[in-house]
Order: sequence, then structure tokens, then C-alpha cells
Amino acid sequence: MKETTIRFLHSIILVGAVCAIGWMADAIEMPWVAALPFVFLLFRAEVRPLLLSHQLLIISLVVIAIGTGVGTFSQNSAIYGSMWFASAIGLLALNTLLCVITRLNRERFFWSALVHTSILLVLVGGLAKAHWKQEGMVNLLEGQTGSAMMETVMGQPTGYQRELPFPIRLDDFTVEFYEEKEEIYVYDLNESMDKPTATMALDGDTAVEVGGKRVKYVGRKKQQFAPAPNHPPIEVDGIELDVGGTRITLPVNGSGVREGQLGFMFHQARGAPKLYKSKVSVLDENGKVVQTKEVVVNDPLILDGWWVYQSSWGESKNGLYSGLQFVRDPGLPYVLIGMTILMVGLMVQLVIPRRRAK
Amino acid sequence: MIYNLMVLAYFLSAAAFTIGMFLVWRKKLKPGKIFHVMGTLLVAIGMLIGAGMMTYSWMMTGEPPFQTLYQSLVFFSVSTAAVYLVSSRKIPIMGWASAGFILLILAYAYLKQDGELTQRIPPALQSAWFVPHVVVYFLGYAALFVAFVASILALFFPDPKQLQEGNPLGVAMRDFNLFAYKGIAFGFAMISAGLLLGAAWAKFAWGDWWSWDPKENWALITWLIYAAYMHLRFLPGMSKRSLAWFSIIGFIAVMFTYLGVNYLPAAQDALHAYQQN
Repeated sequence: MKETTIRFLHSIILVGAVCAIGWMADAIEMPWVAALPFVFLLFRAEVRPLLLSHQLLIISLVVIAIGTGVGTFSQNSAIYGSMWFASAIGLLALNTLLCVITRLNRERFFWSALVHTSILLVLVGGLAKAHWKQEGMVNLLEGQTGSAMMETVMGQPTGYQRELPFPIRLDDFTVEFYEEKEEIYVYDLNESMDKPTATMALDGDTAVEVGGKRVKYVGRKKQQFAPAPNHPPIEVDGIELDVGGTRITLPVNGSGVREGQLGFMFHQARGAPKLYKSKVSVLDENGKVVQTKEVVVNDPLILDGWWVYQSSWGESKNGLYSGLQFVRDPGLPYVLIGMTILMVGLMVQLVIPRRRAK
Repeated sequence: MIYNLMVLAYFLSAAAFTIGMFLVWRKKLKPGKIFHVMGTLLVAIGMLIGAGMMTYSWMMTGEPPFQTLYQSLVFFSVSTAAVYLVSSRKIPIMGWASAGFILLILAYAYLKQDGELTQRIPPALQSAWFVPHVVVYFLGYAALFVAFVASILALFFPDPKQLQEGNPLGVAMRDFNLFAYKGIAFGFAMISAGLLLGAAWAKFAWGDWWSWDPKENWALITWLIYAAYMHLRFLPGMSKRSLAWFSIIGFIAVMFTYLGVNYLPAAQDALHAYQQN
């Protein structure tokens, strides 16, 4: 058997064993057990060639890829937080680390070593995030000052309340919406009375064919409408439609109109949110304003290692409230440095002459 | 109308490449002659029409035209044509494959076309990271497609010496494994940049640079497969067939990342869903 193949087999056995110990560590609820094989491997010189090998790297990559893929087939998969998955990533990191160390003294591998070091930095940042990341949500009405947040883990509330790193006051909150969407629901009453058979835009160019009849928008028209039996008619805005040659007028107040086997209803929906922004003030313990900022999606407030995001909004009986998310990720500097070096290193490697191209 | 013109350009291009290759095979025509030039020109025309449509949409709405699946598919067709023109315009079989693939993309785009031009760009997408993130990804995908075709050819023609001058596919004396490698080296750098730009953007928009979102996960899987490919090349005794298969599997993962993920149950409330009109 070829040496390459034998090393592949050894790599499969090693990755399998380390992941199995990781899985066991979860099962017996002692996560530290998953670290034992790494300690063992680091001090065994005879496994060094295997730990350094491309075969181990490839098997680790494949196992991580399979784990990641399997996790996407269920919602809130536990795989990504499991110790066997972390063990596979650990082996990848160990392999990368040893490769970097052995290559650092070789000049022609400088960029390659740099790229691999940056991946290690991202993994270190990820590990730090997994252990020490803090996050929480606070909903504030205009003028309200928040001093506590609902703790969350990966966006899910834990049920615990935590003190905010600094008191924050919502000075102003605005939500802007896209224009309202107007359309006409057309029902073939022989088919369904609940679900529209077709929807039609309010323009003269669009026509729909429902129940063998061509329906076309004609224009807006005032109409007399009796809101209840024996109630004198009132004038309301309406929409004139051409239904297979017959003109009908549809009120815009949401009441349906029937014409033969067809039913019509005007539908108006508030557009999707375009922008929501919170003007906030950070206060000190004496209630004095330390910093103010207009927080919008994609532009968080950054202070003392905490990132404050415009995360959500909602309506309560007291008016609109702004949902602010607080996040502190101690691993972030490593990740950002790692990602920057990785980007530069990859681009440099792309333009320098390729080595050992088959 | 404009869309139909674009489809027609690619259709005629595929036809020109087919006829050209047939005539070379029947020894009625020398390689690289009129039909090949026509096919390549038609790909360029199709690309320009697609780019023009996108520019018009951008000017009309004031928003980058990458938000809906339809828009992204049109951009994918443009990037695939551009990568073909830059990397492999002298190889008829690559032209034929690119035009054919673009026709498939545009057929799917036709099914998913937007009902209206007005865009409702959600707050999270209103970011300077959006355009570079999407552009590098689609350039990468297009390069990986070229590598995918080259890898299929590498399976059929593993030894460049067996390819004679005047080969109808236009592949004489070409090492397709090396060709695929170059495509993957570029594509891998692009998808890495896309992944990093996406992670940085996510930190600003969603509070976390990695959320284990299905689209992120499949982008990672794709990256891992190509990372494995890049290292497999350095293994002594690694067969060229294995490399070609890795590249083929990699591109299947690319397509799943792009189109298949949306059908996963976990993706129903995911962060990366395309806009619906």
C-alpha cells in the first residue's frame, strides 16, 4: 500500500478517535476530557509526522465540512456547540500550528505561513467568542433610560437579566417605511374564498385572467357606499375595474365585491421598514451624558468593548419601542486582525508566481 | 425584450460553437475560425446586454441590482461570461459550456423574475460591504465554474499528449488539471475574500461575525472543499483524477450554497434569504 494511502488511513483513525473522545466528553458532561488527546498528542514525538501531514489536514477539513453540512438540515442544530465538532476544529488548528512553526524559518514560505497564522488567529478569536461572549437585548421607549438587559445566547433569551455595562437613554426613535403596497385580490369563488386566485397591481397595463374572465384596472372613482343596511350611503374612494367588459367599482375600505363567480378585494399593506434609527445617550453613574450617537443598522455604537446595535423595533400600547442589542466579544480583535492578514496574504499569494503547480 | 435579446445572443453563441466544433471534427473547417469568433463575440454581446440591464436597474432604483434571486442570476451570467472571455476564450468547448451554463442560469432567472422594478432594500443590506461581498463571490463562482468544466475535461483527457493539434474541442496539448488549478486558485481567493467581507459585514449588521446561518455554513463547506483541494495538490502520488473529482464536488457545493440552501428547512428564517417581490 502506498505511503500516502497509509497516512490517510492513520489520519482517519486519529480524527475518528479524537472526535469520539470529544463526543464522550459531552455525553459524560465533562468537556475538559476532550482536551486530553491533544495533550497526549503534543508530547508524543512519533505522531508528529502524522500531525503535520496534509492527510490529517484533509481528513479534518472533510469531517468539519460534513459536520457543518449535517447541521444545516435541522434548525438550531447542537452540532456546532458539540465537543466532537470542536475536537475536529482543534485537530485542524494543531495541524496548522505545527505547519506554521516548521515553515517559519523558510523564507519562501513567508506568505503561506502568514496566511495560515491568520487562520489560527481567527480560530483563537472564535474560541474566545465561544467562551466569553456576552450579549443581551433591551427594549426602550423614547425618553426611557435602560439599565438592565435580557441576556441572550446566540440571539435566544436565557431568561436572566443582567446589568447594562453603561446606562443608555433613548432620546429619539424613528422608523421609516417603504411606500404602501396597493393591490387587488381576485378570487375565483368556485375555487377558494380564502386564498386569492390572482393578485393584480394598480396600473392600466396589467390584466389577469380568472375564471375565464379578463380583469383589468381602469382607474380610481368615487362611489356611494352603504356601511350598513338602512344606513344612508356615504361617498368613499373606489377603484374601477373592467371584468370581462362589465365595469364594477370596488371600495378601498377593505369590503369585498362580487361579480358572478368572481370576488374582489382591495388590499393595502404597509411597506417593509426602510430605516430605523435610535438617537441614544450613554450616561455615567451621575446621569451625565458621556456620549451620544445615532445608532442605525450597520452602524453600531462602540464603547468600552461593547457594541450596541439597532436590532429590532415594535409597537406597544405606549408607542414605538426600539430594540437595542448589546454585544461584547473579547475574541473580536484576533478575528479582525486574522481576517485582515488573511485577505492581504491571499491576494499577495494570488499575484506572486505559483509554486509547485502540477 | 432586452432579456430575450440577451438569451438569443447566448443561444446563437452556443449554436455557433456547436457548428464550429462539428465542422472541425468533419475536417471542413480549421480550428479557431469564423464560428468560434462568432460564438465568442456573441458571449461578449450577451455579457454587455446583461451588464447594461444591471446598470439601468441600478440607475433607475438607485440601489445595487443584487437583491433578488433574479438579479443575482443575471449578474452570475455576466460574471461567467466575463471569466470565460478573460480566461478561456480560445477554447471552443469552454465557450460552448459557458454559453450553455449561462442559458441554464437565465432560464432559471426567467422563472424567478421580479414582478416589479421597485426595490425595497431592507436596512441590513444598506451597507458599503454589500456590493464588494457579492461581486467577489460571483467572480469566484464563475472562475470555479471554468475550473469545473476543465476538471470534467481532465477526466476525459488525463494525458495532454493524447490531444492532437486540430482537436475539434480546441483542447490540443492542454493540461486541464493545471487549467482547473489556476481557476480554483483565483476562485478560492475570491470566495475567501467574499467570506471575510461577509463576516466583517455581519459583525456590523447582526452583531456577530459568524452566526451558523445555513448560507454561511454552506459557504464554509465550499471553502473547506476548495481548501482541501489546494492542499491535495501537494500530496505526492495524488492522482489527477482525484483532484478533478474534488473540483467537481466543490462546484456542486457552490451551486448548493447559491441555490439549494434556500430550500433547506433551517433556511426558512435565515439571515441570507433573497428578497421576494
